[in-house]
Formats: sequence, structure tokens, C-alpha cells
Amino acid sequence: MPPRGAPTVDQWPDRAERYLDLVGAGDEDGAVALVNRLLDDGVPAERVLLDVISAAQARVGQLWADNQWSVAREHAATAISERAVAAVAARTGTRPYRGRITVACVDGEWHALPGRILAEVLRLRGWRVDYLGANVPGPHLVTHLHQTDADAVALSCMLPTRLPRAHATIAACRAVGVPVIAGGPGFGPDGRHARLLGAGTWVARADTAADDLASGDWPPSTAPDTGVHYASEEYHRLVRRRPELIDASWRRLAAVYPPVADYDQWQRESTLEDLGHIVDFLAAALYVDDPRVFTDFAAWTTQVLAARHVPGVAVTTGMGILHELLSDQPRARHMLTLGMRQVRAVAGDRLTSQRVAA
Amino acid sequence: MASQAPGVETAASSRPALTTVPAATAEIDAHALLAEAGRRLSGSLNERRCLRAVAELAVAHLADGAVVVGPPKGPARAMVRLASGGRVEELASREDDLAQVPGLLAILTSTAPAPSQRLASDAVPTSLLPGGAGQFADLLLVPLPGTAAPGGALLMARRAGRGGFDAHDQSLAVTFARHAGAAVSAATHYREQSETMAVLQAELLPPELASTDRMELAGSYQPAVGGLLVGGDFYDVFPPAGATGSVLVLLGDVCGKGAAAAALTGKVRQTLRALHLVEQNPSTLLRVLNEAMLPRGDDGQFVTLVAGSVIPSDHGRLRMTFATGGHPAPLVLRGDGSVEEVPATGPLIGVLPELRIRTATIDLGPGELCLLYSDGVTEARGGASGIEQYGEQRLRRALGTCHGMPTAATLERLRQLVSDWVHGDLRDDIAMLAVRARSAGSH
Repeated sequence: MPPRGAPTVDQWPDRAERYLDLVGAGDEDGAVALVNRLLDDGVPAERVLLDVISAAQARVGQLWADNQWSVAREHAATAISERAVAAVAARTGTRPYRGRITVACVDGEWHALPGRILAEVLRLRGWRVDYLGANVPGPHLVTHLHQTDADAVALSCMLPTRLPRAHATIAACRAVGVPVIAGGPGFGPDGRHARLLGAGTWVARADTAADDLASGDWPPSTAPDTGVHYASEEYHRLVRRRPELIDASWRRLAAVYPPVADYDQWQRESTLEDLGHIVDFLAAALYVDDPRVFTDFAAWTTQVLAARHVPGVAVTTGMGILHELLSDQPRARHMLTLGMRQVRAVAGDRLTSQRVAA
Repeated sequence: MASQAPGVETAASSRPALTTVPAATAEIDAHALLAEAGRRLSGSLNERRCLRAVAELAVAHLADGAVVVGPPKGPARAMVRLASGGRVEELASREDDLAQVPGLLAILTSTAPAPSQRLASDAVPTSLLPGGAGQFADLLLVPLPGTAAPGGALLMARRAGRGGFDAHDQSLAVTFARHAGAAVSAATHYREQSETMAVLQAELLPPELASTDRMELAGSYQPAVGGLLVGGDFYDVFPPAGATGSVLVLLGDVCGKGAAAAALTGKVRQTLRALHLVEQNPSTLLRVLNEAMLPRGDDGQFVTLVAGSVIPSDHGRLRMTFATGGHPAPLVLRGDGSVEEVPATGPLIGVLPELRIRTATIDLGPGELCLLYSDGVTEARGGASGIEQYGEQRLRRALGTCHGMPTAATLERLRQLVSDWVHGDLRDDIAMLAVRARSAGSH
């Protein structure tokens, strides 16, 4: 029952915009004050978490990708949003009356805010929540599960390169008898890899996760594995060869693109990192045997680089070199071919749209 | 849902049964039951999940209803009930309620093996049974043996028409109950041990850091050993003491890893905490610690440490005086984004009788940050080759890119960069402590 003068739904986007301005300016006090004012005005805490903080955070990621915000600004904004979530949590104590859920980010996953927001939404809906934070190693999670009576684990994974570790974690949770709710785009834009890797289900949003959990058919059962997923031989071979592949790629790159000979240490390291990313996303695509993992990465990278005025050929060159080096890995080569095609398509679209705009 | 048993409290949520009952068959598939029991009971060290699994397995394979009574936990015992087609109920029961079932208390209080027994359908108050009154025709009570301690019990019930528990069923039930009892006992044992460990571990966890109006503090800690929350790295901050009212910040790394190392960090922290009350000079503190740790016999324990006294000075600045013992020197992130190393040096603590310590004093301007870190950061191996150390040069550069970030976000980013460097494969403990002089107007 909102008090008189509560803002209506269509006023929130303005507040979300204002909130984004505040976190972008590094104004922690202002952002927390805005969140408190919304709660004072009777906006439900869950809507503040999702429509203001979470919505702004999605924009923050895009602003970084578009090269409008620096890494430092993005991190500062995220840190402020963590504080804002804490401020909402501090204002809203709900006595737990449902079961107990453990919320964790998969090993190696540092994007903690979506999991944190899920934890708070579940708390608001009456669950007892243990929030373990970013980058939770599998053994820590399993120890926690042995020591608590969790009904389910909510596992957050934002990047597909964490999928092999997510798989190991899901298997460990199931082995101790706790079902896993997967969340985050790391499992695919529609969560398509979550079931493959043994998760009971995948949820796109914190509020739908809470709806599903309340529906009574949850947590999903830990029925015996119907078909266990095993990664292909090509995946294992690629991962074993990673250091050697990156080194060989670097030397070939120097041969086809002479300016790299003059790179300083940091330019060289950043190029090696980029080559490493290509290998890692290729490995993830092989792990779940889905070329879309790699082509989605190709499209995203092309956009991020284009925003920094780096042409698509910088990406296709690296992929082309790997294509040559992986002569004995047909599946990986196929994915690289699709990836290069995707880069050209995205880079071409951008050029066209820029010309049209000009 | 069953009517409430007298004196039985509903303790936890109920949820749907995970398994459904197959059509009643005279011949129970022993292999299927024992295989599933092996899979579900061997993986879990959690008492509650074990008890639920026992109820679910019993109802899926042997009976139409089951009541599982766990080992004693305080004045009550956990009890799980399930009827086929129903939901698992989790309750807490007291011994005087359980006394209403003939033979049950004898099973629950005895450490000696006890036989299974069939009970008449009217021998047990229907309120204790799951799924409503009067529907069961045959009951079988089986001990869940404990290991050298009283265990629990499993009461199974069949509806009329299914046929009673014959000799084959009873023999299978006893075998199943032995597995179940072993799993429940192991889970109970694990719970008791982990409760003890949690108490001991709590003493060794990094402290909560309290920022002041002049000084912002943030810490980051990640032990390498899986499943353990503590390790050989540590940091601490001691409140103002002595005439100058200086705060002491410290970060160190003891020899070794895991629990043994963590225990030694507790000693070092406690020694320094007490010393700081009477002595605030960092180099003197290190000398006294050194004497306290010098080998008595051949225990050969040593520690690397950086200790800094922090005193607020004029114009929002902090004056920090550092002494180090065999530890990486702190780094300073200046207001212009440049990074400097604090030029303090000194040898390992706990090895040599005489310490040659060179202290260094720095002024931290408003907004500037000082980073104390352990060599787990700089010695982390990874990169493109997978074997290269992260190194001080990369750390300095990384710290420089954190210019303008909040203190906690700075540590988070550094930790993330190191984690990416090693591809998540951390081999050593990592500890970081950041001290920032607050800018005017910030809090």
C-alpha cells in the first residue's frame, strides 16, 4: 500500500536516468540518497533494485563497450551500485519464512552485482539467503553446502569462458544433493547451455527466479543424470596447447604485420591477451559444442573494438592465424571460419550505418 | 497433510517429494535401491539432506510411508516424514513423543546393534505417521546404526493390499539402513567437527575494517587452499594507542600454507596487538616480534611482515611510517596517477638474532592510496605462457589504472586482474590492505 504521492511506474525511468548520472559522476552519497528517497516515496524495494540499480548497471556495461566510459568509471559506478544495493537491504528486513538459497558467482566470475541483486530480491520474497559473492571456488561452495541446509544453489555466470568451471561446480552441487538454478548470459542468451551442464533450470531475471521459486514446483529435483555432458577431445587439446598456440600466433602475427615488432611491453601484452581471449572463447564454444558462443564473442569484440576505432581486420587476422595453426582441429577451424565471417558482417554493417549517418 | 502429532513441532518448510512410488511389487529390486542409496547418500555430508534422502529412498523402493528419526541434536531430534505422493515434512521431536513407539527409544539410546522389528499397525499413534490416519496396515522399525554412538531409526509403513514386509524385504531394509546409518553418522560427525572448526577459524579470519573520518580502509583476502577460509597471509589494523595515538596497519605472510600457517598467523597477530599497546614504533615492534619468534629448538617458523603507523597530519594528510621484515614494500598511488614504492627494507622475522631495518616515512595526500600486499599477488604464475609471474611491474601499472576508483573497487580490480592472469588457478594465498586519506568532502 504505497503512501500518498508515491511515484507512478512511468516516473521511474527518469529516476533510473538520474541514478545513472549519479553513479557515472562517482557520487555515492547522491546515489544512495536517491535510492532512499525512492523507498521513502513508497516505491517497492524490488522495483528499486531491478528498474533502477540493475537497469542502470546494464547501461554502464554498454557505455564501457561503446568507449564512452573508462574502465575506472565503470568500476567506480559498479562499486557505488553495490553500496546502493546494501542501502536497500539495510532498509528492508523481511523475516525469512520460506526455504534457504545459496547465491554464488561461479569460480573466476567477478561480475557480482547481478547475483547480489538476486540475493536481495529473494530475501525480500521471504527466502533465507546465503550470499557468497564473486569468484566462489567450487570447494568453498561445496563446503558451504555441507554445512548449511540449502534447498538450492543459484549460480551466476556472466561469461561463457567460465562454463567449464560452472559445469564442474554444478556437478559437485548435484553430487551433494542440491539442485542448481543457473542465471546470467554466460549460459547463453537464452540459457541454452544451463540444462546441458546439469543445472535444474535457467532464469533470465531475478524476479522471474523468485516467481518460479514461489510456484511450489521448486527447487527442481535432482533426478539422476539422463545424459552427462562430456567435453570433446578437441576442447581438451586446445586447452593444453593454449600457451604454445598464443606464442606461435604472436610470431606469425609479427611476420604478417611488421609494426608489432615495435610494440612496447604493454602493447605486446595486450595483443597476447586478445589472442588469449580468442582461444578461450573458442575453447568455451568447443566445450558446449556450440559455434554461437564463438560467433557471439566475435560480434561483440568487433563492436567494442570499432568503438575504439580498431578495424575488424585486427580481429580476423588473429582468428586467421589460429585457423592455420589448428590444422588438426576441424571443429575449431569451422568455428573460426564462422567467427571471421561474423566479424566481417558486423564491421561491414557498422561501416554502412556510419556512411548512411554521414 | 498429516495432522500434527502431539508435542511434535513443525520446524521447517515442506517441499515436494523428489521421487514417486512405483507400482507395488512383491519383489523389491534390491540392486536399484542400493545403487541409488549409494549415489545419494555417499555424496552428502549434510545431516538434513541425508535424512530426507533416507525417507525418499524408503518410500520409492520399500514402503508407502516413512518416518526417519535422526541422531540427538540438543534436546530434540530431527524427524523427516514422507508418504507416497505427498511432500517431505521436516519436524523436530522430543524423546517423550518418540517413547510412544514400542522399542524406538531402546534403538535410539543404544550404542549396541539392535534388531529390526515388525509392529502392529495400531502400535504407533497415527499422528506420528505421515499422510493421515489409519491408512497403514504393516509397520517395520529398523535401526539406523551410529558409529560408536547412538544413531537414528527408520520406521516404514505399508498400506493394506500391498502385502506386509516379508523376510526378503526385512533383510533388504536392514542392509539399506546400515548404509543410511553410516551416512547419517558421518554427516553428524562432520557437522560437529565443522562447528568446532568454525569457532576456531573465526578467530583467524581477517578483521572487519572500520574506516574513520580521516582514513578509509579496505582489505581483500583469498586463501589458496580450497574449502578453508584462512591461510598463511594476514592483515590487521589496531586502533590508536600510545601518546601519539597512532593506528597500526600490518600485513604479513607466515611460512607454510593451510591450517598450520593460519594458526601461526593467529599467534603473530595477537603478539603484535598486545605489543602495540605499549610500543608504537614499527621497527621496534618488528624487533620484539623477531625475538619472540627466534627458533627455540628446530621449529623454524618465520614470517614476512610490513607494519605501518598511521597518524593524521595537517590538510587532510596521513603520515605513515613503515618497517618491513622480508616483505614486499607497500606501493603508493599518488593524486596524479603515478605509483611509488615505499623505500623500507628489512630481513625475515624469526630467523636472525639482529635485524637491520630501514624504516620509511611517507605523506599521503587527500585521495591518495597506500597498498600493502603479499607476494601471492606478484608471484602468481600465469599469463600467455601460463608460467610467468605477475610481477611488481604489472602490479604497479595495474594500480595506476585504478586512479579515481573507490578504495574497495581498487582492491576488487587488482584481485580480478591477478585472477585473470592465473586463469582462476590460484596457487598461493593473496592478501591486500589499502589505506586512503579521505579527500575533503568525501566521507
